[in-house]
Amino acid sequence: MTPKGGEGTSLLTSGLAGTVGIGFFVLLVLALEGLVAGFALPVPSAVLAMALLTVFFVWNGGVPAFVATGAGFLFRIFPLLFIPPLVGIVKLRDVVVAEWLSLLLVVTLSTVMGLLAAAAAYRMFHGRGRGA
Amino acid sequence: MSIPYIWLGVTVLLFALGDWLYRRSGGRVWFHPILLPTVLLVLLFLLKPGLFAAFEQDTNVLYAGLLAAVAALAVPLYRNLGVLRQEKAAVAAAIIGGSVAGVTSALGIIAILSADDALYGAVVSKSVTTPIAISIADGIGASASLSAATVILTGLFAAIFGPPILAKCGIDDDVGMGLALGTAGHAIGMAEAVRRSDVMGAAAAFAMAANGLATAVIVPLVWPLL
Repeated sequence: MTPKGGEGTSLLTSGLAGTVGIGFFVLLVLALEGLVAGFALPVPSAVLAMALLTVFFVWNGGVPAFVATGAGFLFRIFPLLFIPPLVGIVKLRDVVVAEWLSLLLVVTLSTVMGLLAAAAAYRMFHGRGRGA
Repeated sequence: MSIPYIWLGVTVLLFALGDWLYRRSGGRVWFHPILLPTVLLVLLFLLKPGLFAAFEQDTNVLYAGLLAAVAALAVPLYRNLGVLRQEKAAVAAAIIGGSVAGVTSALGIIAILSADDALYGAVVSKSVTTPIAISIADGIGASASLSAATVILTGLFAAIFGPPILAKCGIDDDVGMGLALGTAGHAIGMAEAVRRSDVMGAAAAFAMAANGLATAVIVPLVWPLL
């Protein structure tokens, strides 16, 4: 049985590591925001951060523990983070009301087409690259 | 008098309630944890538009978290690079197929409906994440707000209805489902994929990034020819 104090300490350690990890991601994105704006790059700073971090992990041969813990915390609340931008659609009320039927049909039908085409293409080529 | 961060608290509570209902319902689509808070808050702000500014200010901290979470996708992406490398032909085919089918079908539907010309420019970037879509809209002279509306609605639809539609069509492979959600539903579809599994999240993150970057480069080049 894990002693209560040990459990508390490990929770505190993982909480601290998670906080440091989240802080690391936020600072990295903010730093890249300046780069993206300065060079007028056609890519959002967060997507650039994701690409650069992946390259770093490959070079490093692993993910530092505090970064992995921070990522784990963020993924648990990922859908929550999307609620404010989704609610922000109220600012586009006039556009949505004026074009509601076209928007509804275009969004639903073309998204279904996109989903099914992606999945069908994956299934068609699945397994072909193996053993090459 | 307004209580600081009251809307942050309301949003978190509604999300927790939505998540609880979703689990209690056994994962029914209409109880998706994004849907309840979004619908209730949108209805509230349509009735009381004056409250929206305070909501935007109070929940700003979640925006920083969202950017951090997108950057953090490098972790599952790195951990599952082996799976994606193993299936590189299928991964490329899924992203290209999903992207081309999504955009061409959207343009075709607008032509059939004889809808407003403004929609053409807005839908070409509907399956990429909002910041990229807005920069594409600026580049081709399309309406940024109409682009943002199609992006948000597309992501919401893909996240909520994508997994059951794919499952009904017999797609139960985590990589295949992740690629479809990331390609068609950008970051919102990807958030749903991350929630379901690490491998699905990694596939969706790669698809979202690759589709977003390719669309940002190709659309401004091809648009004058259309």
